[in-house]
Amino acid sequence: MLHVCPHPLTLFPKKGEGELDSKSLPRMGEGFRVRDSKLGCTPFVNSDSQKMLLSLVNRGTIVQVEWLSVKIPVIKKTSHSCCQGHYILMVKERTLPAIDTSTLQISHELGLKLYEDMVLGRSFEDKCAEMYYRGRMFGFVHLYNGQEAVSTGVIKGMRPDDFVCSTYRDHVHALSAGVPPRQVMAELFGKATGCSKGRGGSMHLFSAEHHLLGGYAFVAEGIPVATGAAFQTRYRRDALGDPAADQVTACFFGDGASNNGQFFECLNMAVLWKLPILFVVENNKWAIGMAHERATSQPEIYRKASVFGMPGVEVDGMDVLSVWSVAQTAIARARAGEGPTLIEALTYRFRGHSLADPDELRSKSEKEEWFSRDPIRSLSTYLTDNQICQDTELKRIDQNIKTLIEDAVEFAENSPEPDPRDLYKYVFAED
Amino acid sequence: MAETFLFNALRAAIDEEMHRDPSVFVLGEDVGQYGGSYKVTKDLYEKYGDLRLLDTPIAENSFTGMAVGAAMTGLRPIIEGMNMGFLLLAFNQIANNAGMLRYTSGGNFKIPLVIRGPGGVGRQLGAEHSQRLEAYFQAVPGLKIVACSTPFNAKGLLKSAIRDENPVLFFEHVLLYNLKETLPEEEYLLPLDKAEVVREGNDVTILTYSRMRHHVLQAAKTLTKSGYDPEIIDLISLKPLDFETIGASIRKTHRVIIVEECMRTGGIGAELIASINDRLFDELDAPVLRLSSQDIPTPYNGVLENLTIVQPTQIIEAVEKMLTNPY
Repeated sequence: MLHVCPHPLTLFPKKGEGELDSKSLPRMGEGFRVRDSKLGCTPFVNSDSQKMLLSLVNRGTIVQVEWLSVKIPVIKKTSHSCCQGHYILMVKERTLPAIDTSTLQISHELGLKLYEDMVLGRSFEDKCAEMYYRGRMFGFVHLYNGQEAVSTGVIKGMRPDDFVCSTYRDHVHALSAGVPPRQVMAELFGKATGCSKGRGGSMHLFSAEHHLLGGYAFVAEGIPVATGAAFQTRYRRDALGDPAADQVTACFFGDGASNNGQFFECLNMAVLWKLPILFVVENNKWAIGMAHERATSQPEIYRKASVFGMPGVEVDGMDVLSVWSVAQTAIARARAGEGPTLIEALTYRFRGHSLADPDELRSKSEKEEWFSRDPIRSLSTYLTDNQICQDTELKRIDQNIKTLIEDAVEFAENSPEPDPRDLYKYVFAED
Repeated sequence: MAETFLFNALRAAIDEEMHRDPSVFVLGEDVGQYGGSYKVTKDLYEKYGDLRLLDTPIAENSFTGMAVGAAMTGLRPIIEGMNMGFLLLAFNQIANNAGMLRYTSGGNFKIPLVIRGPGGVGRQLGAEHSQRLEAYFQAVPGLKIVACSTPFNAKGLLKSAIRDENPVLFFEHVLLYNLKETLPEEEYLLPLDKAEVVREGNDVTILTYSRMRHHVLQAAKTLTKSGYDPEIIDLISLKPLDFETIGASIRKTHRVIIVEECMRTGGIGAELIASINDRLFDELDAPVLRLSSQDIPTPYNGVLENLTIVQPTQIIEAVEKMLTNPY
């Protein structure tokens, strides 16, 4: 059997059990690939590749194994005292890109702003789970826990007149874009005071006032819409001669969408017409139950930008300062009319795909590894360690957000249902 | 204006509206430098430049979604479907985003968008290029569907469609582009939601649209010589249906024949019959008769293709049968 070594993400067979056997290896459906110089790559998940891996390991061959999205660089004898002498599968996450944030000037004000937005996102989603289980909201509800650094790091560095386009996992993007928590909560309750007047629900949050182009419930369908908003800005600037038209559009989507044609088609058009847009892939490794590596021939999504001649950057999506840093570069580039950027943020959702997902496929060790990198905790540690903010200030924010969320729930509870006489309202522009 | 081809009437409509409103632009395959496959945007590229006549890559779903995004943020895009059949590739963006987004957004956004291009059965273009899509789209909430049939109505309707605040699917017919008609010199607009009474009559109401209007008119020549007096209505608006005009006619004639190019199953005619039964059943002296295309992919062979769509002789026979053998 596999055991988790106290050293992060190290798996090894128990002492005395001899050689690795099939039980020691990923079960079917978890998937892995093996690369070595003799055999090349076996791209498929099947029992043959399991057998092959076993035989290689037991012959002492050094191979590189990719397990799900996890790369296991070598299989070797461990040197750790706790597990010395055992074969060790060093389960290593994709190497995180090092973004130098040491030169970033994080002011007291900015630190608090980022922290507040992330806590708002987290607390809001936790409250959603509670309200869902209490029967206050319905349908499919996809929570954003764990990914906050991406929404905050990108959107909080944009202007209020910039555009944001989201997916079905859209609550936190809406909040970062400035949609009041009351309006988002009321929408989830299906109330007339919701940002989509109770017509949209969790996956269809919209706010023209806050330039939120919407939550798009089908995977990848928001990408063309966001591209259109970016085209509009370019059109205003160059066809209508409006020098003030320098808005940037941030288009969020997941690793699953990056295998869809609309992704490639829009990357192509955005470069072709130098559109002011950020394509932000939130690679949380899983498209419901489909591990990213099982769905794509090139797991490093940011590399896909290169074929279009577009800058592609990968960033630690659990580090808001890194996200902020790469987003600032991309925003400045877009605003200057230099074109789009593809940002791949390596992140993780702390909950299942939706509140209806039993979340059985993701391994405990994988989850624990990512939980240990909680972006909110990392930021608060950074802010206090570097004496940018006081712990008491952060606690005050926590408290304020708690009050804000309670207020949002109360508002949603007390808001009216949409008027049945308005059933047909909003079908056409004149309604 | 001298005698004008239908394709030039459309071109004039686009040109006038682009001149009038700088937020109007055209996008699609070969609309710019090439001037459009049916020359509806000929020379407009030189006049308005490459952003306002945007040649897109062949990526229907994405450029349609892009037009939706541009419309949501204040522009007024006109998409040319090089062939309307290609729009099947953009069905998601047309249905989910153009059609439904205003509603799902609770009125946050409006989508003033025209999607226009040639549809219908042409001359041996094969199944994929000879589609009758109007029925596929009629169930999508939030879309207006319009079919033009003459140079005069093509121009007036397209101008109105461009000014409309909603997504409008604007069907042209591939075999009508070379129709000629003298158009008014002065500017005119035609309402999108009004059917056109093409010929007044008392015996029977013939409801039709697009190219079938001309088949019906051809049949009417023979029928009137034989003493029949049909009322011919071009629906123009396939969604919503103009029941004011349709109702007034049925209350007069009490008999209805539908002549359509779309397929019989789930077609525009099917919806018409259901709506007539709902609203006007007591006015009917006979069951509504429906002449539709056959429920088959349009065959390539010319003989088979002619058998697929309704021919004037069938219309004559239908009218004679209905009026000489009253139920």
